[in-house]
Amino acid sequence: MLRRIVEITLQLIIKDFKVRYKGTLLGYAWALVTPLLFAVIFNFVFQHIIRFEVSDYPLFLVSGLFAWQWFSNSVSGGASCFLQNASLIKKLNFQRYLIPLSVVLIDALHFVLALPIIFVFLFIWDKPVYYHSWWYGIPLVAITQLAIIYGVTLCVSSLNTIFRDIDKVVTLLVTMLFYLTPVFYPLSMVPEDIVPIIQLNPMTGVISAWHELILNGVLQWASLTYSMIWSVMLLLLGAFVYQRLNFRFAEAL
Amino acid sequence: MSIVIEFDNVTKYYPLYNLFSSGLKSFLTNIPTYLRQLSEERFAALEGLTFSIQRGESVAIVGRNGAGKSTILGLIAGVIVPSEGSVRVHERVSPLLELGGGFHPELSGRENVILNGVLMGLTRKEVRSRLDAILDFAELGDFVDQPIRTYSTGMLARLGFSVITQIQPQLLLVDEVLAVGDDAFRSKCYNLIENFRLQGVTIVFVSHSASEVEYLCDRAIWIDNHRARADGKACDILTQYHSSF
Repeated sequence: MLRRIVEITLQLIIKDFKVRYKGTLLGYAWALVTPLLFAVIFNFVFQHIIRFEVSDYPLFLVSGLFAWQWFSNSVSGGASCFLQNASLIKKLNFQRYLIPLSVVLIDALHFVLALPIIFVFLFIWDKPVYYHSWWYGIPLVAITQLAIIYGVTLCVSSLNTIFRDIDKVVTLLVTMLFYLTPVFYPLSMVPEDIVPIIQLNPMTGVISAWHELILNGVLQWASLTYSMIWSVMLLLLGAFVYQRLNFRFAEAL
Repeated sequence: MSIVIEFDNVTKYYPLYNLFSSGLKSFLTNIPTYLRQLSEERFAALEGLTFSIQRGESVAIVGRNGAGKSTILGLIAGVIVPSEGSVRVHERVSPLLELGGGFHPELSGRENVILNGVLMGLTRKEVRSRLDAILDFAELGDFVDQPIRTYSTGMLARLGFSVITQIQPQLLLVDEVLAVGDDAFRSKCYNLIENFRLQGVTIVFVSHSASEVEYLCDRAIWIDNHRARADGKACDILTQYHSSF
């Protein structure tokens, strides 16, 4: 059974890679170029127009933007994943929850492949390399983030089979959430009375964990635990919604 | 003889999704109407259907368009579930062979064959070792490496049929897929189905071609107006069916 799940997931990942980059000029490089371009723009705006008092701001940006990109790509791209695979769902009885999983894993792979770029930035800025906390910190935060993203994606993609505009709502919400997540500003800049609101956002804990881990080599157990609780809740929500809707996929698509 | 497929008083409703898929806004502004419509405006594709199929039987489902034939195959394949009653299938099912189905339009024929095989339960290694045989059967020439959105309907049917040649299904579901193949390919498929029959594979076959049904099936079930109207020897049922219009 597990073997079958691994086989199917792998094949779906290979398939998605091919479908995604067929006929594109830059192919996989888009995954690296997009966050870097955002970093350039944010750096310009918040260092030269509005002046943020954040030391090594480009580094700060880079250490959060790739992780955000993973979240935003998976959730808004994955929302329509069942629709895109309608032809398979209607003919074959297999574990459909593996379709959104493969979407999330591809973006996870993109994120992992982008990590060296973050290290290059650290090297250029002549920053220390915190091996001692990275070797367990990076996998832990990444797995927590993976669980959060999978929970959300499973939920929205299932709903999207019935309400086709969930897709558009999600893209909008993800963009809005970006401004409510400390990606391009540190949590410490947020006024005290607003912090609880920002903390409600499941991505806040993860992104601040990345910042602290990459820039200072500190794994914030508090925010990681908080994010883990979020990830479990979101996984349960996703599983619940999927479980309620999945038997109708073939007829709704 | 053991029973492979069991339909027990199966009813399948489809909600009228045109109301539903018009989107979130119209749903939210009309929730009461929707809830009422949900319970009222549904369409019964099958009503109180009961039958069973033994291992090794080849059964044709005949009937007019929209009678519920494809719904039966969907229920057997397990891609849809009954609204009432129960469907039990005690065998590994082949993918539903129907027109244009089961493939991803952007992938090539070869890539689709691999994907299909894996989704059906083969390992990637097993698929790769059988790939040549599958593609030989399809006789698509250089097209195997073209995206299948460029394929004709007949070529798609070829590809779909080829995949099942190598997966040794115990239960084969064929929905009207042979109608678009050319004569040469069709006779090849007949031979294949004939072979499957000899090996004791259970076959459920939807077709509008009387000669095909008579040639390939021992038994037929006539679905009329979402209910089973007659069930018996293929040639008898066909005669009854054809004299009804």
